[in-house]
Amino acid sequence: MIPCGCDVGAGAVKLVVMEEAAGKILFAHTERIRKRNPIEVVEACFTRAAEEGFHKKDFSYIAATGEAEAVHERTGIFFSMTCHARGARYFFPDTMSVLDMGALHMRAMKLDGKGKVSAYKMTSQCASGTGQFLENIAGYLGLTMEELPELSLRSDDPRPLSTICVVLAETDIINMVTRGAPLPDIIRGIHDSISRRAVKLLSNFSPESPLTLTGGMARDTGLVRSLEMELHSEGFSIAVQRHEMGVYAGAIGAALWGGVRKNKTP
Amino acid sequence: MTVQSILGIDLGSTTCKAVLLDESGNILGRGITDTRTNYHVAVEAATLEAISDAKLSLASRFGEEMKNVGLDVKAQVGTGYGRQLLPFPEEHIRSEILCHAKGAHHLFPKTRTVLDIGGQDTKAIQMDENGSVTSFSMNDRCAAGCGRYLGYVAEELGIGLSELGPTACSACRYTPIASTCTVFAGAELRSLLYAGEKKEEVLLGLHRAIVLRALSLLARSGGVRNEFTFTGGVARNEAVVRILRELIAEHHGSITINIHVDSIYMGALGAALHALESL
Repeated sequence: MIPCGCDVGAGAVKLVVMEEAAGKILFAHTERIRKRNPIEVVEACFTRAAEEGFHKKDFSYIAATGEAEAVHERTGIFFSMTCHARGARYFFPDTMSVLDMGALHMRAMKLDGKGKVSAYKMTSQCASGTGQFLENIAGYLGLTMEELPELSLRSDDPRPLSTICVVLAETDIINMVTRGAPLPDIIRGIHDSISRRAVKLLSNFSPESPLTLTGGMARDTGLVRSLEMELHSEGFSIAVQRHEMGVYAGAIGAALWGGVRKNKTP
Repeated sequence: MTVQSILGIDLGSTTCKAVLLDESGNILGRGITDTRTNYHVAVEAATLEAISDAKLSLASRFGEEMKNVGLDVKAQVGTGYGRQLLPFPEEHIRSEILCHAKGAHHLFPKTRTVLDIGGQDTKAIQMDENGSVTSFSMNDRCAAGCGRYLGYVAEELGIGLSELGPTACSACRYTPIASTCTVFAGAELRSLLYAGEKKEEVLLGLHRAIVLRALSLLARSGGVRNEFTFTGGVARNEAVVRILRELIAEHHGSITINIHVDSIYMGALGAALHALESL
């Protein structure tokens, strides 16, 4: 049984192929959307998988999540929240809270002992504090996303942003640069601002330790440090854990749920 | 020979505007430049442009020799988003609210309500018959409903800012936009286009969203009263103007709507008028 999970996010499509019995990841691929039609990007992911010997016809189940309509050959659709929860438990079976930081949305979830989502909160009206925000800003500063963590970790004097709006923050940051603020301090200020938003989201329910970070932004160690400090200063004693493959949490969760559904149907 | 003049500077988030007045309050010259990255250069460039514009218009009115006339700036007042950064003494700085109200009242003395949509903020101002501000509301927290929103949409589509209005106006109907946030609206725009919606209709929907935000701000400030003056850079966008006219007529009845060709200079004009008064 090799179920496939495809998570169509706002910024990237993530595809994984799993060996169900062993719970092993056989293939994983991320493809940035970059203003393309998500349907084409999904196809590109399947083509990559086929090149590695994983053909659509071989999959026991194609589980789609996120903007699931873009996955034409899906067997079924799964709710993002439950997929991320399942993916977080896959990496860390002791996970009690999940924070998914994606390109356009942030989701905070609380899990019960069995790994079921017992409470959740998602950003809705405003894109501040999301990956797109960070990427836009990296763009203004002429940096890549990979360069941000190291710079942020170097700062101990974060520059606060005067606005939470992604679009208006651009001017704020241009001003900081013009006034000669050091780059690490600017980036740390942005990481702090995102962290405040995340902790506010988690504060909607009483989050329990440990917290697993998923989504593309979980890769940013500078952001993780800011988040840990913000949690601490807000009085939460929560251990934060993240996995190198955290960006695949949704796709992994979908594949695993797909396997479950497949086994239930004769 | 030197001509006495009064300078008003509106250092906005996106553009910097300068207006030169003569001693009777007539506009001599205008200058505008991009604010991005360097405020001091922007102020200087806008001022120099206003001075050369003034010389050219003087020359066309009074003869070629006016091209070499000296322009003496007797007084100056600054306003706008970056006004605190201007190298002016404290008493030569005025708030944008006061300046926009002043400029609008000067050009259209019957104005009671002013809507100013700038690059990064939207202002709704109410004033009495003497032009004194009685109340105002402002949005400077969120780019939704500001000029930057349209700038973002234009970047998303890869078209110029000046093409937005005409493109939207060519649509007969609009596609409603559900998102408030500029970034979400950008994502929504893309998915609507993939779903086969027409670009013109989606654009008209986006322009409508801006106007709806402005109308709710106006309602908070005290409504839309006769006469209504629309200022700021976005007043140059024909689609916004068209929708604003339609919606005001629908919800507020017959109201005179004033839009001046100098709408983008309204703040700078108001600042110059404040400077003139201080003499």
